[in-house]
Amino acid sequence: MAKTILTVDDSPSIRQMVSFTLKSAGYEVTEAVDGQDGLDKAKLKSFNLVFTDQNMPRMDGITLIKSLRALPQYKATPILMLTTEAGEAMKTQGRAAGATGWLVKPFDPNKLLEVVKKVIG
Amino acid sequence: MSIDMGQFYQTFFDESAERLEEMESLLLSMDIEAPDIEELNAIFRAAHSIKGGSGTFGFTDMTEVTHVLENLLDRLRKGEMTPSEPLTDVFLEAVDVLKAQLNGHIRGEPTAPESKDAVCRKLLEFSETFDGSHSSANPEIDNDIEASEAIYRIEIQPAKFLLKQPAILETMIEELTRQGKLETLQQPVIKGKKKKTDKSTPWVFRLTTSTSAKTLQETLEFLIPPKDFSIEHVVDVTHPAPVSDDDLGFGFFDDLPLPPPDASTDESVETVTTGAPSAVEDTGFGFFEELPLVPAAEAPASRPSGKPKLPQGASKTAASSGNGDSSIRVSVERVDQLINLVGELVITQAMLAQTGAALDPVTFERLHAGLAQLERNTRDLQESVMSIRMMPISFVFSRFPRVVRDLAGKLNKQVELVTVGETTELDKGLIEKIADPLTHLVRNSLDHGIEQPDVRIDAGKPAKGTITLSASHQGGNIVIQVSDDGGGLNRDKILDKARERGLAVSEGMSDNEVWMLIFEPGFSTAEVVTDVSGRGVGMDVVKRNITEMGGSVGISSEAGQGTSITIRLPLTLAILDGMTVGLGDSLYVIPLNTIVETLQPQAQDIKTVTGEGRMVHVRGEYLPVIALHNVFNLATDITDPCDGVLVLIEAEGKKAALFVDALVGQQQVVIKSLETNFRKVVGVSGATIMGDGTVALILDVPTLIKLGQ
Amino acid sequence: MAVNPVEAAEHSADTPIGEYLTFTLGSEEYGIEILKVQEIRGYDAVTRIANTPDFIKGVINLRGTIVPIVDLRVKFNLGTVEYNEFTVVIILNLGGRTVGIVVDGVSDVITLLTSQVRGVPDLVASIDTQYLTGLGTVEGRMLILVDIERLMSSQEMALIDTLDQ
Repeated sequence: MAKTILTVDDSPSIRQMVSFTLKSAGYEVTEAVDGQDGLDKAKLKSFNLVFTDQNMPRMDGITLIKSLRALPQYKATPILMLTTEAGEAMKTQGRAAGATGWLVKPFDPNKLLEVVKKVIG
Repeated sequence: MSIDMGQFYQTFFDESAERLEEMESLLLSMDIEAPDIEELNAIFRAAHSIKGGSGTFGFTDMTEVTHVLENLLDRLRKGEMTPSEPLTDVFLEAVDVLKAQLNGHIRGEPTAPESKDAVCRKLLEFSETFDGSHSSANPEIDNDIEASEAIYRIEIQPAKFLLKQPAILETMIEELTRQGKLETLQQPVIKGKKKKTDKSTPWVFRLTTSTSAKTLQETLEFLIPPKDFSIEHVVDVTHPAPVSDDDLGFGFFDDLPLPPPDASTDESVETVTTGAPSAVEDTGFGFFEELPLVPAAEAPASRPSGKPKLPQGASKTAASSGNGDSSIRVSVERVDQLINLVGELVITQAMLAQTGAALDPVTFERLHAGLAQLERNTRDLQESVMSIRMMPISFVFSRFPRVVRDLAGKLNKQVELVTVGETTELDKGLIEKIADPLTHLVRNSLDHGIEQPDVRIDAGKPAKGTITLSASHQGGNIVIQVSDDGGGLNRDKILDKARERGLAVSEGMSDNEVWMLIFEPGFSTAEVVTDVSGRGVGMDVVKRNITEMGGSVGISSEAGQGTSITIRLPLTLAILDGMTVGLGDSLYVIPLNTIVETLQPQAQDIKTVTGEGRMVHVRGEYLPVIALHNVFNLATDITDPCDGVLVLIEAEGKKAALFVDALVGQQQVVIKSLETNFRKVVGVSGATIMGDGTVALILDVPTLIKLGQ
Repeated sequence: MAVNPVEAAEHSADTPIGEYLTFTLGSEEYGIEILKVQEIRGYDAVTRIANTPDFIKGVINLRGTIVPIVDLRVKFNLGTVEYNEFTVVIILNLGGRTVGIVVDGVSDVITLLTSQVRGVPDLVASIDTQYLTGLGTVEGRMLILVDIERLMSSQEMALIDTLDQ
């Protein structure tokens, strides 16, 4: 069975790219347009991995990570922050919220796959 | 695996264009005194999003601008900076630069870097003004605008004068130490008994500083000739460069127990093992703590059993709604083809209705019911098909906040723009054509309508003027209005000007007729010709453009209260409100927007002028009578205007009386081109299909008026 | 591009050149490439266009498009010009433009062989030789083959805007 990935980003082009890249590699991808949408979708179905952007309308990435960690089924799910901000503060926040790791935008599709493979094989 | 990034460009272009529009309108509506934090966040997100996308898709010029922009916006939303008009101006300028860059990428011709550099410099200046600690930094920017701190490799040749005067070197080291953290990597080797310095090994320092390379260069040039040293920019410290190939671009915060088969690839990732990840050697990705991962394959099965099970349908719905608003792109040609087909269906339906009407309603009851149903369905179908081409007028209105802001600033006027009815829809073709005339009207209102603040206060009005742009549907028309609460039109001034221009005017003219004079070619009431509203070319062009769209323009004005210009447009370019007239056994359609009035003349109103044909006397005016049967060489029994009808037509400021046999009726007609299969016919602008399936020609009024002179 | 049957004939003796729709104008029988013919219909009410030559009868509504109608009988002074239920209009599709021509009658669709076609002598038909592509012989009758596209787009037909207008 294909591994399932939820990608949360308010940018349609990034979403399209991430989704296309992961689907090409055989993953099953669900897209969400912001943190709230991501949380709603995460509740409907469980995923093997969650990618989330940080800056989004309605709910930001950090809040999404915290909310997901509060759900029993997401206690152990790898969550990667997909963000342009690799600053110390953001990492500290991400870490505190329960993120597994981060991936800096801009990134190329191969980098994305590399990271995903490391996390869920 | 290679993925063609080109396939995502279109989405990025669309998205960025939308974000830039959003940024612009948010910036324009931002309250400088008390900015809404949510709005600032939204502006920040827009910049941030474009930065992320442009970096990913390789449009680095946009990344540069959005990066600087984002930093400023971030400080703004965190309250570290206060908004101001000049700052908003620079933001808007940055938006313009980004738009130009985006359009450049869309066309595949990247824009020159000058405007980008200029706007980045302006943005950075703001950043420095507000940030004391950065005030010493050189305002000049490198290509690397990212670096608030960078590492430089400085190499100094052991020239003779340096060796002889160690003080210079000491001063230099002292100077560099003041700039940042200096490390000595290499020194000239001192060899032999004579303690001779080996001139082949230079001094090499590593300096970590926020000072720009240019300033460093200048500092060193003070002490050492430029040929004897070099400064090499090694790396930026504060932010990982977004387009650096060396950067791994991702990272994990803590040790990651990697899936066993992939363990060998571990070496490619520099993993930070402590809880404090080092920023300098950031690999761009990382893990916060030990990943509680079970072997991947088992992951789904090992999930807590409490996970809600959902029917297949539910998750499908969720997944499909994730693609945002669902829409498809269809070429305009295909839509137009559909519209044409429906147009034919409408005609067929009309023919059936006409035929059916002749049949006995009792005997053919079911046929009549069916025909009535067909009529309703056809009408609904036509409406929905037409609506595909419809776009909200906000596409045009959205440009005006900017136009008004820029222009009001230039003219030192205070103006508020109010828009009403932005959701009113009209045909895409009209949207494209109405933008220029509307822009002209708005600029005109601002330039000539709204008074200077002091004049307004003297007149007992608020210092800030208001321009209202409104759109609404009225019957089969779109009505667009540009109103201002300015000084209103000056009747005497317009009349004087008209006389000066040799136009036929009289004191007895109604206000309305006087106002319409401003649409005459070459008319301008501005006391000073400004670069804002042009040189009197414009209002006539505005009127001509609107008439070409099948619309009409009207004006009302009240001294001291303001002026209002009303544009009426058909819902679509393909439909025309027409008056059908009869001539012999033919029917012709006259566009309603060119008709002033119709009348049946009395014999005494018709004058025959030798060599100039007949004239008709209407309300103090003599208008040439154009007999349509003469123009078209058609046989008709009615040759005396008193037996027929005169239709007073007006185009391009000229009037004439068109003599036809009879008026048949008023109706909306679908415009068909004659030129698709035939050629242009003088005096005819197109054709239409009547209810009985026959073709009627639509008259080209401006040409007919010219023929009559 | 219309195949020139004469040139084709020089190459091989007896291969089909193509299908032709034949029609009569007075006593002459003409043939046009069937591929140029869209449909054949009766003569409907036509809307006259002012200030056009008399052979341009006007325009009709052909399923929503405006199509000009040319009466070739008037143009070439042939046959009896009458308009009744037997009057035939051939709707042609010529390079994207649709035009109707009025003729005396439509006879047949025939396949011509190269051996049946020869060159055009001068002064054989009412239509100028420059618009003819050959003469065919079918069962003893002479068939004048017309390059209808060239004819209809010629300046004398006044159907198309010319540059000097």
